[in-house]
Amino acid sequence: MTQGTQELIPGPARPAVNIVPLALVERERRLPRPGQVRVAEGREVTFAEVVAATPRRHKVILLDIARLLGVDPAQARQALRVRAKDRVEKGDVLAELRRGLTRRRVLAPQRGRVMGVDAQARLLLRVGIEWDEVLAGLNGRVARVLEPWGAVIRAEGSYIEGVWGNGQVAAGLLRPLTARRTAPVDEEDLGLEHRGAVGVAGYCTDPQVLARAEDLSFRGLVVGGLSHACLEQARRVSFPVLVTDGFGPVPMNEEAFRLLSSAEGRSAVVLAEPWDQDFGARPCVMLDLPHITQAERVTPGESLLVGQTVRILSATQPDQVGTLLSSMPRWERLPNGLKALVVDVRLRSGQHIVAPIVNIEILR
Amino acid sequence: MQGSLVETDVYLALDVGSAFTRVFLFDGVEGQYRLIAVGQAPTTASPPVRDALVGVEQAILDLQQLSGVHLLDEDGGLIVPTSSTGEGVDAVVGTVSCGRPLRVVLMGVLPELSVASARRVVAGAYVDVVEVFTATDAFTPEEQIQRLVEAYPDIVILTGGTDQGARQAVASHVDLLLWAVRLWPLVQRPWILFAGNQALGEAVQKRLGAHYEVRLAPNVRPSITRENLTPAREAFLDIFRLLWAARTPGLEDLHLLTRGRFTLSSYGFARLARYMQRLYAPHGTMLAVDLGAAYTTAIWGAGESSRHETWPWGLGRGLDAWEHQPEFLESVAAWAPVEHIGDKEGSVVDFVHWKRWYPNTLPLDTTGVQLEETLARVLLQQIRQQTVGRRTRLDLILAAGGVLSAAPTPQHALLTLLDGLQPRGLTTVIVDYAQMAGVLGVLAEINEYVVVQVVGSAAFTPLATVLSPAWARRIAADRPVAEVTLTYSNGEELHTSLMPGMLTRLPLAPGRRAELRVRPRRGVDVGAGPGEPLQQDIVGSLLGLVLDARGRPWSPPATAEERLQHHTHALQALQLAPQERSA
Repeated sequence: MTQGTQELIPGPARPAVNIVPLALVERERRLPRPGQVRVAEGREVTFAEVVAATPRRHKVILLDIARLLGVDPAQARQALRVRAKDRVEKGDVLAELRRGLTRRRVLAPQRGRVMGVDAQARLLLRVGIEWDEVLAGLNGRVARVLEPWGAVIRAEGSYIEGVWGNGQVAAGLLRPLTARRTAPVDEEDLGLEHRGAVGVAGYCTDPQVLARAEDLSFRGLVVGGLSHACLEQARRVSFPVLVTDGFGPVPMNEEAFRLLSSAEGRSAVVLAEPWDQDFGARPCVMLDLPHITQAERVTPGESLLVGQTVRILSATQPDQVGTLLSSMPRWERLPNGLKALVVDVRLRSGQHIVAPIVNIEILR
Repeated sequence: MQGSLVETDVYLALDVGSAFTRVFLFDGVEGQYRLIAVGQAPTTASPPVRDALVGVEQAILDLQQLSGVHLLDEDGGLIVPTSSTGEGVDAVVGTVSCGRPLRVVLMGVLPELSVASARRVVAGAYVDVVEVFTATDAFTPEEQIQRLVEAYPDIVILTGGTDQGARQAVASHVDLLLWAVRLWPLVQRPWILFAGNQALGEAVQKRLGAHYEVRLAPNVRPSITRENLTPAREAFLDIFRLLWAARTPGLEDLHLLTRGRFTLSSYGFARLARYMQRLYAPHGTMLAVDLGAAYTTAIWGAGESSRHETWPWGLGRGLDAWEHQPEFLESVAAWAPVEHIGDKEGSVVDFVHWKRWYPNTLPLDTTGVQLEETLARVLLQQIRQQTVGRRTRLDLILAAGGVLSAAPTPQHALLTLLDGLQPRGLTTVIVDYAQMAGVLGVLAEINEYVVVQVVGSAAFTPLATVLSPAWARRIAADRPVAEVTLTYSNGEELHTSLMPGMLTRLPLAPGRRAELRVRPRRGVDVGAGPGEPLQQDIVGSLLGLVLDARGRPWSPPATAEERLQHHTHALQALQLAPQERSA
């Protein structure tokens, strides 16, 4: 079986990690729960714009109008001066009862919105609301609205996907911090000239680097690997931290490092949200490009093809990239005794290995 | 029972796990049902495919290729029922564990009565109980509303009141749900399952029905002394299936393919575990563990009183619960037989994060295998603590999960279980090598013969019988903790003096029987009480009788180098002799 000129390897599509110099990206931006979409199809958006929001917390006050007025619920309901959905200011009259010369009132204790009144004449006033928001994440255009979840943002530029992000989004100018993709970044590598930058480095094993980057108001840090010792600090810093390849002293893959280090001074958006494995959205870096004529559409995965560039995923043997050789997967026992469905791969070093299909990720 | 051996129906069983999808073919061979073949493929419910059915198709293709059996027609459709030429299958069943846990809120009157019953209704399902409301809560009405609304449940289990009993608490929980309506938009509202005071069912339906999807089930506590969980559990499972099918692409198709004979893997596993308990330890204590990528299921206890729980723990996404817990990470470092990954900069703890984000990947070298087994050991310790506790004698261990079932050798699987669960006394250890326990549990519903006969086949041969003495006082290294004699059915006898720290085995092949006599040192408990001798008939197994005199609790050596040495020696001690292998 072939696809184009390349021989197709049977089996379902495998995940792809996209590192594409001229990319057309369509990115779903979804709320954790249904909510309100705040953008319209076709609208141009910047990465920090809110595309959808849903309440996370409500602060409410429950007012027992009958008890406050000293009457029964039926009378209290008749005394109401507001209805559900009414907005009220502090001190507004919620209920009022005249008895001869006397007048009793229940006033709004705070600014808020009347959410409803029950048969017992208890009034629910919402006085505060906090939102979960989803940002556009990329500079682009709203391609589709996903009511009531969010929207698809279409963007063009150089595009690099990663494996881990600390949940932050920001943009800044790219500044390489290490000359080699295999080099660790040290605290001394970060100078005043990097203030407000998006730093790029081989890998990071020193939490002090993150502290220093925070001091320098970094707008982002992109590394190949991040060690456990740095993870807590990475979760605390105010700028996005994106890991392209793995955990520990793992070098950045050649494609990503080449693309990022050759773009020094260019503006980059770092969307370091955690990899959503249910929907396939990986953390990513997007570099703005002035004009793109022939952009390649990125995909979360595709069928394996002989000749394809793949990386072999392994915690203990990182940084293995090669070319797929075999066209028919076969069951084989690995040297460590495990049985696996494998294919043949020629690594860039020239070494020929067999790799379990489940360890293969297409490098696009 | 609907099926029988005479009909010799052919069954296909599907298991859609969070990492892998497996399909199992069962057919009659010489009058007995047997597992004919297993096919496997990565689960495809997540991107890039986002259709669980594709992984099932791929696993069936794999099964066809391995077995030569023809199950799909020219259009790729499953042949049901079997054709006159023997192609296809007669029935399909399935289990699933590949979705996110559902968020559940429990409401009841008393924590120890209706709420405890509500907990048991959801026990074992893939859920996260995010809030519990009782009549004894000391929260203000505002706080109650906020707690409920911010819990964003998928399902609310509303219980409370014996039949004709308490009404007020149920009514106030209904009020609470009505307040939440004012703050939740329609699309965010949960399902309500009412399983409380039956006198209130109609009123609950009337008050909540306009705002929520409401399902009524018989009271889980019809009286103080009576519990009735089955109908509520079935209603809950119906809702669960609907919600999971809506969220997991392809599950609806699998529901159709199996004609509704589709349930949670954990439920199937629990059913089989209880069957195994009746078979191997009818009066003893069992711990059955299914260690998956996203979830861990455990069934534990004695006889009919065994309990069933599922936690969002596992060797993949299930590490979310642990990757930020320092004690867990310290344990991983303390058990790992290597100190670093690669050069000295790589920490073994980095492996935890790696496995969290790449759960489907296989270790490529021995270090990777050792680290994966280390994670399993540490998780198993947690499970032991959460279930039977550290001191309980275990008569039966049933273990499932890729790290054990697909271990490089049976010795690896046993060592991981011994280190992780640290059984005491005399324990039969069974590993579900084919990872079919869950689907067998479901198959039992339509044909019990399949289960009885497959469990009796080589597929479920016990891995070992393990004798694990425990003692409190220190014993000198040159003094035996017990004298062990194994008398085979042919009269042949093997005797060993079990020294402290020793891990060894005595051969007893599958199908053979022997009498075990153990004379422990004073204060040493071999399962019959401190200093009490033990005499028992035991059955053969893959590794025979394993004697683990490392003591309980056993802690690994202090340095990684020593741990690696111990690990290597332990694996060697459990090796079969050449004549056993050929046998």
